[in-house]
Amino acid sequence: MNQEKLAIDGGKPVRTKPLPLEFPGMHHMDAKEIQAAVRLLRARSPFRYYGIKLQKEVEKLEAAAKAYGKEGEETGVTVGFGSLTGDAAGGVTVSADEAGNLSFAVTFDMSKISGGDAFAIDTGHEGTHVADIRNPLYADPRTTLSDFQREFRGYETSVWVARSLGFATLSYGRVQVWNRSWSKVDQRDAAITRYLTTREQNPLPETRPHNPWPD
Amino acid sequence: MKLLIMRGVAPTILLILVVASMAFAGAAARGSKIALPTVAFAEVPLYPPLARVARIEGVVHVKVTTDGHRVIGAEAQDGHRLLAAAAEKNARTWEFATHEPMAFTVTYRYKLATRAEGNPNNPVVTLRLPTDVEVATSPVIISDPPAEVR
Repeated sequence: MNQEKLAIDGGKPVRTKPLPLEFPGMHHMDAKEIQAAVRLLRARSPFRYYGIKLQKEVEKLEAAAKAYGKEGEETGVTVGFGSLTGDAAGGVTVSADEAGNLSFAVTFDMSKISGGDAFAIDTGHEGTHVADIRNPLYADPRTTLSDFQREFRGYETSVWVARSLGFATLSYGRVQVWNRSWSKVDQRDAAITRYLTTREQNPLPETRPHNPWPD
Repeated sequence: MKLLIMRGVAPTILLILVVASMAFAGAAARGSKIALPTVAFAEVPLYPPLARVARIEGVVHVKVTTDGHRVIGAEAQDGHRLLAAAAEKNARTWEFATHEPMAFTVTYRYKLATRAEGNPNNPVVTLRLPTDVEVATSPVIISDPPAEVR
């Protein structure tokens, strides 16, 4: 136990100079931010709304987060915590009332989720499923997603969250679906595909394109 | 029995057409000696994506009214809205060989089975025209393992 006196009681203050009068995030940039900036520059698309190869990460993450709505807002989405069977740590159950209105129950099994960062990744993943199923494109057999495509989009979100949190790798079971050292997006796509088509529970036949929807 | 190839067919759909030679059994025409019309064209009925993801299955009876060539009315008499809408939409695509205008009932059965045969993205469709349609596939399972980051 720390026996030092608090500054308010006459102890030595932790900080003797005022914090800079700017936005706090501006002062905490390291290799992660540099790497993200380089990626945007290499894509020649540093802006959100226009560019040669827009990265679309903000929109994707916004859509996943928006799926849950704000506190107290009636969104048709309920989030619960409980035990899920097998190796499942997150899942979505969709219901439709007699009028065809959809509601979503998102469940997380916290006994299988290793911490806050992993939970953020799983939350983004399941939120993508909710947002996709709510998309009018999903209801039309001509534009709907195959089971593979739906999951592929979920794992794309997982990778984006992992990357934005500054991690170096993202794995599911023994399969690594993303590694920061991979220079081509094809490597990520191939890894997600390998995982989805070979996983023990509910393997899915590959369909192409992997992600047919504009983000 | 006759095998037809129809336009608008999803690539791997197994399609069985048992054509109308035995169709005296049509609901509205029961008690009548007049045969139900011969189907000349029909879009393949598919499992509605939202019904599949919401695991809704069941039966829809659609009252079909014809003008002697085409469907001029298709009204679901029962069934979940997501299934009824798909059944009505499909029934409206049907065309027939020339016949006396009439009304009859088509029964659409939508089935989900966890161990359904074939590719889950393409249903197994069985047609006993012009009165019975069955669309079977597997339900959507959204269940994901935990992320592991380093």
